Parts: sequence; structure tokens; C-alpha cells
Amino acid sequence: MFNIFLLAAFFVWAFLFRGFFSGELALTYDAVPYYEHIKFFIDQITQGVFPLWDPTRDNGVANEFFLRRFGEFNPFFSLIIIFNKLGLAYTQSYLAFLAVYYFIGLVGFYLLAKEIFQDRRLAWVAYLLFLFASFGTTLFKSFMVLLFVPMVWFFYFLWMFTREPKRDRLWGMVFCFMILATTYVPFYFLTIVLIFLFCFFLLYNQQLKKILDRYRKFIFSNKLFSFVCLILVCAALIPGLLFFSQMKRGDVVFPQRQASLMEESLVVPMQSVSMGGIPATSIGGRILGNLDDLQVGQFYIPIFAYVLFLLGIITPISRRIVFLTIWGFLIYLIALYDATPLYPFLYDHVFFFKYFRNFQFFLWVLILPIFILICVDQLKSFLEFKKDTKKQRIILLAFIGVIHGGLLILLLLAPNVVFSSYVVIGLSLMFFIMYLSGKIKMSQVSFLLFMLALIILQPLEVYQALAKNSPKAQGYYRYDWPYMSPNIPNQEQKEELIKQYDRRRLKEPLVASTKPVLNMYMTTRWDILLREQFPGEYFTYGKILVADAITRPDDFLTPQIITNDSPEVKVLSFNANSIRLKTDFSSRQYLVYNDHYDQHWQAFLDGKKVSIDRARIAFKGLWIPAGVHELYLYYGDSWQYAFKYIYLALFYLVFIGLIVLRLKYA
Amino acid sequence: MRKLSVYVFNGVFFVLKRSMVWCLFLFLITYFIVDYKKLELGNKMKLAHYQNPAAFTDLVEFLKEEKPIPKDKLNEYISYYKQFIKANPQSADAYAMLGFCFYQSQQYREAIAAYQKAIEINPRVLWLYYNLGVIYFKQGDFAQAKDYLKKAVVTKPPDTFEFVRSSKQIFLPIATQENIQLGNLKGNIKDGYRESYLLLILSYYHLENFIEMRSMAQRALITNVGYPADFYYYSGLASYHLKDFEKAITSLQSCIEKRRDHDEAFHYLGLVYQELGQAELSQTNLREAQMLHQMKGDYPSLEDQMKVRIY
Repeated sequence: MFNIFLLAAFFVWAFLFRGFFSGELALTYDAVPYYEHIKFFIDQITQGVFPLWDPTRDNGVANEFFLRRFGEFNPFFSLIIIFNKLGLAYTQSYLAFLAVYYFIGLVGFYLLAKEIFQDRRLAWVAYLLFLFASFGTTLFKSFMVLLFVPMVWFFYFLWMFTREPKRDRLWGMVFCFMILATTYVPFYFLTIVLIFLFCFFLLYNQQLKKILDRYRKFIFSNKLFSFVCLILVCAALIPGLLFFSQMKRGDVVFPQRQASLMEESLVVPMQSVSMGGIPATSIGGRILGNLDDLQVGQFYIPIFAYVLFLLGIITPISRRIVFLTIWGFLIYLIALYDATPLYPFLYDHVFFFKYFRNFQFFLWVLILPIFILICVDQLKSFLEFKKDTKKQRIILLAFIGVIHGGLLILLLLAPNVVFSSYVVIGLSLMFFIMYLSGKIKMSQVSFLLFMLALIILQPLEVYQALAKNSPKAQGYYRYDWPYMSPNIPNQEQKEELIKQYDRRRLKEPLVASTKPVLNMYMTTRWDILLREQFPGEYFTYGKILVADAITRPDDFLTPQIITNDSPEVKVLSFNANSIRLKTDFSSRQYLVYNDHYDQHWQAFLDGKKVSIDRARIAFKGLWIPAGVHELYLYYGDSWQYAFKYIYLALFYLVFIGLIVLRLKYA
Repeated sequence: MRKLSVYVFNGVFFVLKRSMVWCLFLFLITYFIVDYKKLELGNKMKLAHYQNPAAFTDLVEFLKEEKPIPKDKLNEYISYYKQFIKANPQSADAYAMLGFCFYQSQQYREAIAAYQKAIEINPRVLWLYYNLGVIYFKQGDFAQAKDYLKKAVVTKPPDTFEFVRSSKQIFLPIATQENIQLGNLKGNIKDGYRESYLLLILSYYHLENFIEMRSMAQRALITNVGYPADFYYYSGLASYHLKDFEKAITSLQSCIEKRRDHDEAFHYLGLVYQELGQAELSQTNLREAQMLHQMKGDYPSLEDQMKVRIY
């Protein structure tokens, strides 16, 4: 029955966000590039190409950075392919994937809450509070769901494994860790886990010996299994380490983020509260009022959570409450950047703090769920209060009356309060009165329905307003443009694509050419060099340039610009990582492929490897002899592709192994 | 009495064991750990929309077309940079922009103080010394101008470049609105060194320290900051005042070789020949100077063209 309730509540939530799921309302901010990068990846991988290079972004960049951002090995991305094959357009498939992935995270949170409180009904309350809080809106603005889902399941498996070590639980932890280690920046997870361990040692040190004994017994009786898990954990670190060493070489730069182009490209300067972090005071502006102008990505939690939080005035403290609050509190302090001495200390003394920022993410992936767990814990404590005598019931009723009265007064004083807030307060008062007078019991369905109503009523109104406040989708996202397709179309299609490209270029003629480098997100260091020497100009009005024998490859004053197949140059095949050309020149020619130079590019002329110049400061060039020849330009080494495919297979195998083990132990 | 104290004790103990008290305790801790002023200012910064390049439209129009910035807009900028500095007291870039805005609103003492504070924080930036040099020069305090411009010319270009380039919150929004490229930044820095040398030379001229004036002109030529004709001219001018007529002729002729329309070079060359008693050569050069001056008409002097710069 509970499973049906979980699904039903989720469908109600999805209905509230139907404008986003239908594609009518736009994805914004980081949600857009993530959509684009994942689509680019899916488009290529379904063609059998693992895209290590993106030729369409600012004249070509290595794609590894973007693959690391979304974690290309996550098996759940195959849902997009499945939905697409079932007939949904790519955008809808992607949005459906987001919804399903989010639901998986919610189920993880529900299961974790069920284990913590040992009560399904309280887990249901936690589930509803999280579902209808505004974390779900970050699906359409950010990518935090990619961090949250594996994290919540990691902690679920950790809890279960600690209670009773079993293979499926350890395997689940390993799988979640593998995803976290290969998605975006693993340092959010690392910070959360380290603070978690610190709090655990502080408050549960007496149980530590027993727990470690359990772990030890399990490892010794499952040596091979444990060893395999260890290997997998170590293997999960390799993509990140390889990426780190690649970035250290300095071929790729991030003008917008780097304090200096001379320093390591992944280092971020020490963050300041004036640049980001948890905006504590602006959360305050939307606790009770101003919910009618709520927008995607802004913090919101149903008002009933505050009723539960205020129950803490009377509910007793417990070790669990202390643990959760300290855990959340320490993360909160770190996320205030230089408004406390903690972050500057960690930045100077803990190496990985130099490699990540955007600490407002902690608000969503940890502080919000912890706050909900605290609220539900207080509800649990309150419901367990003795109310056998009349005196006890009167005291509790009086207390309930006071907190509801107080909240009502605050609502009357707050600006722009939505009507449903008053309804929830009234309904909440009624619920507690009925509960304390014995008319409702926790074991009854009415309890669940009351909880549903109390939590869902306000969001019904708030999310209607949010849909009205959200911008409409404008049409294509970047990789929806037809010419981004990796397939070589026929001649007619090619001409149409070139026309479209020119049309787009004409529509935004100067965007690429005069984009200030200072404001660019990512490019190659050669591109920086080019723009320094020729500010305000741009050189890629044609993809392939050909010129007669010249003394210096950079003196490219009057090249022949090839934008279409010609008798001299014909494109035989093309994908994200390579291009194959057939040339037929009457004399020796210097050919420049206006795609950024990178040391990993290789060239083969008639099957023989030849060297590539860095031509025209930032691009690839080489001499082509007269006559008919085949030129093959290819990015990367074979071992890089082998590595990627092996890892992809490994992640799928681990996931399948998890399902098999879960079924076995179920 | 004893019963009462037991009740009170139990009551206090009861209250202290409530969850909310624990939360209040943590809230109290934040009061001692968190710099609330910084937090509030930080939020104000985020809300002030000055990360949006469009907020600097007036400023950029002034930089590009010399359209004056409305006074109320200048006051807004000044207020914003002051708040920014409160939240980030070690921001040399914010002090520099504050100095720029004070200067534009003719609050010269405040402008000087702001630039001096910026130098305290980061003493390696060309523009900070240059701007102080310009302000003092325009006020006629050539001694102070000379001191600051001497420091300007010995700064290192990469330090200045990184100072501007790394300023994400102050210079980046302005540069984005103005559509500045990295190449422009480097070109501006080269111009800055040239103008620093020119102003320094003129400061020595006004202080009648012609030896230093000539030495600086020579140094500018060696450093290759561009437009060598001007530096040959000032070298010749200094030599003329030092009555070192041979050197004056060499320098002024070099200037004329580089710029055939340099009327002042012709003029002083004529004066030098006059001093040497070579009347014919003197007349020729003075006539040439007059003719060129008539052709070119009146144009603003170098002193008039100098202005306080951002980057």
C-alpha cells in the first residue's frame, strides 16, 4: 500500500510541474548545459562513438571536462535512450529521466528515514516533506539531483550495512561511491562524509568498537568479495585522477574561474560570501511570505515543517537530534565562506578545498534533508508523549494552541502570505486536537491522509504560482540544432545544414567573434593566444582552409576557404573525434583544419602517421602533397577509448550485480 | 523552600533538555563565530546587481564616447564600491574603482586616498601609480606626480595584467560591457607605460630638472614603450635647456626622422641653430615649424589628453 502512496504523491508532484515536463517551461542556468552535454554524449554513444572531443563548442575543445561534470558512466542515463526508443522526443526523454532519477532518490530518502525512525508512517511524512520542498525545482535549474541521488542511497546502504553487514549492502555502497567519484566534483560528498564521521566519532564512540567488529567479521568471512569491492573503489578514483593530471598540463583554461591564467586551471580562488555560499538572509525572506513570486531554484519548504520544528520546544533532546544538528550546523558554517573563520582555515590547510566552490549546493543536498529528518524526529517524539491523563492532554493541547497561535500571528505580520498557509495552520491545529483527544491514531489511514493534506496543500498553491513565474522555453537548446548531428548527411542535407549554420551565424554574427575572453567559460590556451594577438577578430568563417606553399604556416593571408565538398577536398566521414578527408590538389598545399589544436590529435596520411602543426596560432595544420590522398585526423589514443568503454561496461556490471544481490538477499 | 528549589531545578533541567534549546544554543554559537556584518553586506552585494555588466552602461559610455556620467549614477557607483570594500576590505580593485569614481565626481582628495589605499594592498600595479600621477599633475603638484610616476614605470606588466584579469567582481563586468579582449588589455598596459613616461618627463620639465628629464626620455626609448618620436623630442628639449646643443640636434633630428610633421621639434631645432649662430638653418626650421603648426591647427596638449584610467 505504501508503495502506491509513494507513487501517487510523486504523480501529484509531477502534475504540479507538468509545464516543465511537457517542455513548455524552460530549463535555466546549469540545467541547460547539462541537458546539452548529456544529449551530445547520448547522440554520440548511440552511434558507437565515445566523444572525447567536441568540435562544435568554440572551435573544438576536449570533452573530458564535460563528461566529468555529469558522470558519463552512470547506467541510469540509458533510461534516456530507452524512453527515446519508446517514441518520446529527446527533450521529453531527458525530462522523464530526470523525474525517474529524482523518484529513485526520493525512494532512497524514504527508505533511509524508515530505517532511522523504524516507522513507515514517519518515513512517509519525511518523504512528502522532501518531495514537496523545492529541491525538485532544482531539476530545472541545476544538476544537484546527480549528486543527491547516489549520496542518499550511499547513506542508506551504509546504515543498513552498519546494522547488519551483508554483501548487497556493501555492493550498494560501492556502486554509489563509484557514481559519486566520477560525477562532477566528489569533494561535496567527501566533505559531507568527513563531517559525518567526525560527528559520529564524537557522539557514538561507544558503539564504534562493536561496529568495527562487525565490519571486521564480515571482511574476514568475505575476503574475496571485500577485495573486489576495494578494487572497484580504487578504480572509481582513476577517471578523476586522470582528468586532474590532464588539467594540470594547462592545455585547457577557464578564463572565467581562474584568478590567473598562469596558475593551475582547476584551482578556484578563495570564495567570499559576496560571491556565493548559502544566502542565509535571503532564505529568511521566503519562510512564511512572498511565496507567490517563488522561482525555480529558490528555497522553499512546506509550512507544516515549521509546525513540526516548533514542536522541539517541548520534545526532549536526543543523541540523534544532536548528531543531525551538529552535522548540518558544521556544513552550514563552512558554506558561509569567509563569514566564518572555518572555511578560510580549511582552504589553507585541506587541499581539496582549493578545487571546489558553489557551497550553496550543501543547502540542497544535506541541510534540507537533515532539517526534514529533525522535524520528523520531533513529530515522533511528540506523538510518543504520554497523554493518558487529562492534565497531560490539557498541557499538550495548550502547547499546540500556543505554537499555532504564534505561527498565525507571524503569518499575519508576514508580507504576501498565500491563503493555503492559513488553511494548513488551521488544519494542523485540528489534526493535533483530534490526535490528542484520541480521535486519530497513527495506525489509521486517516493519519496518513492528514499528513498528506497538511504537507501538500500549500505547495499546490505555491507551485501554481511558480509555473506562472517561470520563463517559457524558447525552442531549441544548443545541441538540438540539426547541424550538431554526428552523421554525414547527403549533399542536399549538407547544403541545408551549411545554410542553417550561416543563418545562425548571421543572426548572431559577432557573438563568437567578439566574445570577451575574460568572460569565456572554457577554451584552449592557444585560443587565448590567438585572441590576444587579434582582439576583436575571428578566423573560423570556414572549417577547412587551404593555401599554396608558403614560407610560414601562420601567414595565412589568402587561403581558399572550403565550406562544402569540392573536387579538391571531400569529407568522407566525420564524427566528434575524427574527420576523414579525400584531397586531390594539383600542387603541394598547406591545409588548416579550423578546429583547436591539442597535443592528443593525430594525423594519418594514406595510413601513415604524420605530424600536425599548431597552425594559425590555435588550429591544426599540415602539408598535403599533390595528387589523391586520404587524410585522417583522429583525437586521442586507443587506450583512452578502451579505458572509457571498459569503465562503461564495469559500471553497468556493478549495477546489474547490485540488482542480482538485492534480489538474492530479499 | 527546599521543595520549591527542587521544582525550579527540575523545571530548568526540563527546559534545558528540549530540542529547541539545543537549536538556540547553536544559534548563539553562530553569533560569536559568524561575521554577520560581512554576511549582510555579502547578500547586499549579490542583490545589488552590480555583477551584471548592464549596470555599467553609463560608465562604459563615458569610457568610449566621453559622455559624462550623471552625478546620481556616480554616487550610486561610489556607494556600491564603498559597500563592497566593507565586505571585502582587501580589494585593491574596488579601491581603484572608488578612486576613479571620486575623481570623476571631482572629489580629488578622496580619490587620492582611495588610490593610496589600493597601493597599500597591492603595490605592483601600474594604473594605481599612474592615476595618482595624473591627479597630482593636473593639480600642478609636479613633485608628487613625479614620485608616483617614477613608481609607475618600474612596475611589471604581468602584475598589472593579472590584477585586471583576476578582478572578477569589479573589472570583469565593466570589461564585458565594454567588450574588452585580452589583447586590448595588453595594449592598454603598453600605452599606460608610455603615458607614464611622458607625464614623468613633463613633470621634470615643470620642475626644471632637465637632467632627469633627459634621462627618463632615454630610458623610455630603451624600454621601447612605443612612439619613439615623442621621446626623442623631449630628450632634445631637455638638452636644449641644458645648453647641450649637439645632443639636442641629434635628438631633435631623430624625432623629425620618425615624425616629419612634429612642429615643435622643428621649432626647437630652429632655436638650437639660433643659439649656435646658424641663422639660415634656424630660419628654415622655424619656418617649417610655423607651416606645420598652421596646417595642423590648434590641438589639445599632451597634458590635456592625460586622464585617469581604469585599465
